[in-house]
Amino acid sequence: MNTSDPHAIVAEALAMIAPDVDPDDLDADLHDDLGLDSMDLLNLAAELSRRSGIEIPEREYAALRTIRQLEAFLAR
Amino acid sequence: MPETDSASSTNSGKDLDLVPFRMPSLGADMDSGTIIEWLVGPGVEVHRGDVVALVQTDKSDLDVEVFHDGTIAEILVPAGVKVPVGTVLAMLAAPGAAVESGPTAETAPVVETGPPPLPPETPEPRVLTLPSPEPLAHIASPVLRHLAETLHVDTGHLHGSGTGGRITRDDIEHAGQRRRVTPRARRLAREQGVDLTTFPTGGAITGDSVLDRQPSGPPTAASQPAPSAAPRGPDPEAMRRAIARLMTTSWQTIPHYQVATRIDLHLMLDALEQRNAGHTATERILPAAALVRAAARAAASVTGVNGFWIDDAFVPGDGVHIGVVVALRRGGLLAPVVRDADRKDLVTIMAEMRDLVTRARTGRLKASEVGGATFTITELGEGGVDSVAPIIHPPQVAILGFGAVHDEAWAEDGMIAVRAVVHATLAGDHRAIDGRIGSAYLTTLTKYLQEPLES
Repeated sequence: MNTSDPHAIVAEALAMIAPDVDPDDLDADLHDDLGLDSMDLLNLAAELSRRSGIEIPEREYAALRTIRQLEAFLAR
Repeated sequence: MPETDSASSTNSGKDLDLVPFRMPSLGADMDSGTIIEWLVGPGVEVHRGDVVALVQTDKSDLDVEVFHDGTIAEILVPAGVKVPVGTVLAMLAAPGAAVESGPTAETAPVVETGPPPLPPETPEPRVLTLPSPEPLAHIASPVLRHLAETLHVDTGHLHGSGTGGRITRDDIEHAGQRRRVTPRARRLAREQGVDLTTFPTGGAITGDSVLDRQPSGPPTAASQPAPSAAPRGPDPEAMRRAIARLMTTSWQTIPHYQVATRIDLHLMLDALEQRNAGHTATERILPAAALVRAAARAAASVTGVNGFWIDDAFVPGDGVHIGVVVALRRGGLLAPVVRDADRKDLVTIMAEMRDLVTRARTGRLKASEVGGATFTITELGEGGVDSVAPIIHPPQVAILGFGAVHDEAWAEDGMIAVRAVVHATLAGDHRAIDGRIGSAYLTTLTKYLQEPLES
């Protein structure tokens, strides 16, 4: 059911963690603007890793603040 | 409460080997709930812990588990009916003679907290015993019709595998299998007239996938969500009213006092940073988990803060079950419970909190996870406030509030240092506990937060 499309992966992961967040809000800050707290962000990282097979290093994850940045990371 | 009492099982007549399955405790502030959906029907074998029904309260929809092994003998309260906590919802035929023994040692203490459930005074709606013989779209049972609505299965297109082409539960479940629909998708589908039943099963239907569809003409009867098939999660106004009731009761009946302290967290945060550095982002332990664990240990060791004020007396909790306040982005809050948090290690508490927070925010908590808190913690640090003066969740007698962790000037040994500091405020019910106990609690909490992390 996974695709390799980063936008689809992020949208599906967000639907599991924060279904009320619009995955097309690419440049909103996930924490400050969209209201995800640290527990949500951690769960999102886990869901992204599970769906993409890419392990996100602790240090890099802190710098990923928007959906666009998450997609860019998965597309690398 | 879900426990059986064998005395009342005899109410239903001669059937001594029937065990009543009751509407469980649904959280401190909830005295009734509406069955949205039965996931089992008569004749279905169930095991302790199986989710058998979906129940709606003003604050959330909850999966309700059964607490005994057995076979569903009869459903007494059909979907759509609101009943008080404690009402017998169904009768279970329990295997063998175990039935007469009532609650087992294992099940008895699970949710023995809070005020006793309201006695089910209202007559049980026995007249609505299933199955109904009336066919509609060749589905006989209202439960199955409801199931089809909930799963967005268009039964007009289904071929029944039952006798005479009847549609069975299996047929519906198969058609609706694993189709997850996000609330946004459901809303968009309703607004745009997109028929959700036309999506392939097996994956999640997200708002995007709905937007990708051309509207499929005027909504059909099947795509028109019935009121009961609304997205999971309650009406925000109902949740607001529920919170209003609880907080008004608390504020008007509980003489609150508050004691507060600043706690130096630099040792804890350094230790967590060190520990996390060796792990992936997914395995990270957040300070919130360490705060919950320390708060639970302190609640266990300071007598008087962990429990309830019931009938003019303090009733200690049957364990340290921490309600963790989870704010919902759409407004409102829930307080899922980390059970026996004083006896769990940090990794376990972190895992449970992650799970509970996710399911609180996506509407998939179980009834057993919102009931039975003996002490509550609210962490408002994410919002950036320095401190919070929290309001007690009755009948509990205390609540602990944490503000944000900020760097502050910290005087120690005649020097001023910059330290990561959190402001902790304990609100106590002055009927049950005095300021001395509240103060002892915060002192103990501070001590635990200076100790090295256990791994």
